[in-house]
Amino acid sequence: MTDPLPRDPGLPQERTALAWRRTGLALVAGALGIGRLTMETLGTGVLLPAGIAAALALWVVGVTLRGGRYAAAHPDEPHFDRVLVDGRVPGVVTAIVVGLALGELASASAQLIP
Amino acid sequence: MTDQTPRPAYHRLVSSHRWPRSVYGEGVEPDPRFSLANERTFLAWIRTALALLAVAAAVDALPLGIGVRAQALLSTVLALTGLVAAVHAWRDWSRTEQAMRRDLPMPGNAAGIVVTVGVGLAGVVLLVASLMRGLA
Repeated sequence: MTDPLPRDPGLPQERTALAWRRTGLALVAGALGIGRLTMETLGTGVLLPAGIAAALALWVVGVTLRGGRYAAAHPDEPHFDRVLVDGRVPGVVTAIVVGLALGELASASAQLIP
Repeated sequence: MTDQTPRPAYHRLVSSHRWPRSVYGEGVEPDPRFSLANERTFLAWIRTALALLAVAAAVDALPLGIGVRAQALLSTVLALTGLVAAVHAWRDWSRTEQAMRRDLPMPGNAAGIVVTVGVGLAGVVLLVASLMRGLA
């Protein structure tokens, strides 16, 4: 029996869903953009890790768009049905960004130490 | 509402399989509004990290007229700052969730200072490199 109306006037669930959406899209764009730009310095070898990062980012977008896959009902507050199931999706998101940061660091330091 | 039947997803929340155990192993489920706010803070840090990395990649790839070495140094500073922001996003999310579950004080924000210094340092590198180009 899901309450069709959110009870908190601050719409926390909706705001969180939108935050996931824009972060997921930024992740996809970041993976593709950084992959494309580091290809100039590191060569075509970056295509594979960049492709994996972009695929994982698309997975995050898909999982968070369909709320049920990443979210569960709160045990005490049944109308909150979008609480994170656990830390797996944030963990994957962090891993993607750390991977992009390491790739960019490799590219920059390749030019710093010729 | 008198219906006490657990919803289908209920067991997923109380299960001991929730990862990581350091967060979910102990404590009680906090107010969902606080968990959601913690999620949004995590996502804001992730977007900050992505923005820093996007600038680092752009500075690395596009000619700015300040020299290749200066651009590489600028890019390195920005990428390191982005890395700190990303690691902080995860650490802060997990430690905050842990603190809320166990009714402990919230973790501090030491990484905020590191990110502030990183962005400031990038500004100094850009300023010095531009001035040196201008005077040369």
